[in-house]
Amino acid sequence: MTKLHIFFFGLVLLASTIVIPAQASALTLAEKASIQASMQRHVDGQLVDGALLYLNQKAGEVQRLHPVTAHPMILTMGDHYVLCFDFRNDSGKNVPVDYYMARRDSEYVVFHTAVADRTLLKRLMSDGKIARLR
Amino acid sequence: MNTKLALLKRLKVKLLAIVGLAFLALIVPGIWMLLHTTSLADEEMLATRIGNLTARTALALDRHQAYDHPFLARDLMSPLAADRAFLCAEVFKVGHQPVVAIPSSQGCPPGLDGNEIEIPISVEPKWHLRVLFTDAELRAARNFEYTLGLSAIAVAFLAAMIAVVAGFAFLVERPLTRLLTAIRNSSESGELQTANWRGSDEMGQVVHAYNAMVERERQREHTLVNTNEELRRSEADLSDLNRQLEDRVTDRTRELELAKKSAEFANFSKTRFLRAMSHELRTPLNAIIGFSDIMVQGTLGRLENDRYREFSADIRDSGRHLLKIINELLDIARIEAGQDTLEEEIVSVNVLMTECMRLVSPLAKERTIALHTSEIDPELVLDVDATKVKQVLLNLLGNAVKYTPNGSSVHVAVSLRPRHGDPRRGGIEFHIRDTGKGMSPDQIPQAMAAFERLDNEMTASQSGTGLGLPLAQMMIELHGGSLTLESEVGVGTTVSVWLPATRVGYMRSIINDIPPVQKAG
Repeated sequence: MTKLHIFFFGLVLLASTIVIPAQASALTLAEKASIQASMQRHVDGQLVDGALLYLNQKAGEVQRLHPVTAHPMILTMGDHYVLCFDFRNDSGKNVPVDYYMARRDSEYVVFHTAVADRTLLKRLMSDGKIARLR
Repeated sequence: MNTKLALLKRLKVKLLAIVGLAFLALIVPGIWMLLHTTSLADEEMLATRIGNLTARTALALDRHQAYDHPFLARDLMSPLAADRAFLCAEVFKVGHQPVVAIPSSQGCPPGLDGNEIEIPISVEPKWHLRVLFTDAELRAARNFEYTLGLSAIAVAFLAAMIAVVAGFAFLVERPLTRLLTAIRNSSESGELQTANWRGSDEMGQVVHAYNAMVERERQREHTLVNTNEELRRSEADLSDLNRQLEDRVTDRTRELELAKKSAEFANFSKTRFLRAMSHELRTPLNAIIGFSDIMVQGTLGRLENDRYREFSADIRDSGRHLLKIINELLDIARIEAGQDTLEEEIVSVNVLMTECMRLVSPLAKERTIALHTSEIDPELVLDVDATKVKQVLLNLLGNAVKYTPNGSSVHVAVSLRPRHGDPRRGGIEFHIRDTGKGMSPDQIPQAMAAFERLDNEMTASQSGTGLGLPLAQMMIELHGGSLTLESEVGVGTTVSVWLPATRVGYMRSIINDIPPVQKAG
């Protein structure tokens, strides 16, 4: 290995240490808290007797989904955001619900709700259309 | 400066630089990404915690319509205040002053630094909840994690460097140092030394290979020393042999010189003896021949008894034969002693041959033998001792007639041999061919030797001295020519005499490549 190789090696190392911090978060902490609060308010607003009513088209029945945990991870899809919330049905089975949200002025609103449709989220992620917010 | 450069060129420093850079290139981005991911997760956790708490507080305020009940509102907002990131919270109608605040005495002053969330509590009228919270815990956690990460990097880096140095010293430096020491000692002392290191890794194999090479060199050197010793011994033996050989050669040379002197002396004695004896013999022999011839001729009176006349004739013929032998012996002795000289003169070949043929013709007629001669250019001459050449030709012709049966023929041919620019090839040739019984190849050398005769079955008429052919050969060789003999049993014998071109010429001019006669001397 020549000195030139060592120099370039060090340069790449330096560049990598500089580039990584530059990938700052696209949302501030306050905005993240706001979007989480907005989702929570939306979930609370949808509850009927403490449960989210979901029409299972395959089973042909309305299921009651009880909110359990909000995922801290925020995904981004262009100018929009995706947040996940874990629900549990009456039989105790976890049901994931993904909320697709958009910014409206200083607020955030849910424009699409995907109940028990994790396939959609995975497909969009594999297509590179949805990524983790940094 | 040179010391610094030398340090940088050391293998260990290079290895440390490579390993250190590779380690940092791998570990620093990894730790950095880990810290970043952890920090992001912490931030999301805090945002989720505060966001959920704020949303649930807003839900409680809305559900209890607590906008106009400050105490109730504060009670409902108290879980917010319990969070460690909480700074302050206010409930207000859009465009109006807050109606409820925590802390109740202060609310959210304008200069308070923090992160703000504002979410609607009710749609109509538009009540909002505003919460300020701090990210101090994130910063603290981040500082701690970064410090921990850097410490981990530093410790791991130091550990890696120590491991590299220790590993290098144990695995490479020690065997390398021993190998280098062995090489330096070998170079300084001039005697190959092995390196003391046992290992099965690559360095061990290098040292082993070096030791094997040293062993081979030692064996080779040992072999060379032995070979040199053998060579030295062989050289001494050879010198002894040479000395012995020289001594033997010297002894042999001395013996040969003695033998040569003895032979020369014997030859000289023989010649002197022959000359003396010939002289002593010829004087009385001439008297015997002369007196016996007088008796045969009856010069002083005819002998009465025919038997006495026959005896006298036998005495005369025997005397003449003896005289011929003596003369030929004298000639041979003179030639061998180098005392004979050529009396060169220009003589016509045609005349020479005619004279010879005339002299032998009586004997040929007596035996009814035909003599045939090839045509000879009358201008052709020789520069030779005419007496000796004539003696040679007469001898050869006489032999041919003598050894040819009665009624047969003898052929004589004279021809010129072109020399094609080479004086050694040209000249004149005399071929005398008889049709006698011939000789076998092993008899030819015998016929050319002095005193040797092949007359076991010969008649008296074929008797000779046994000196004719050797004497003829000597005389021709005195002229620079040669005499050869070819014979085949039952066919006949051909004797060829060759004289060189320098002894051949023409009376009128030079023809073809035959040069004119050059007078010797």
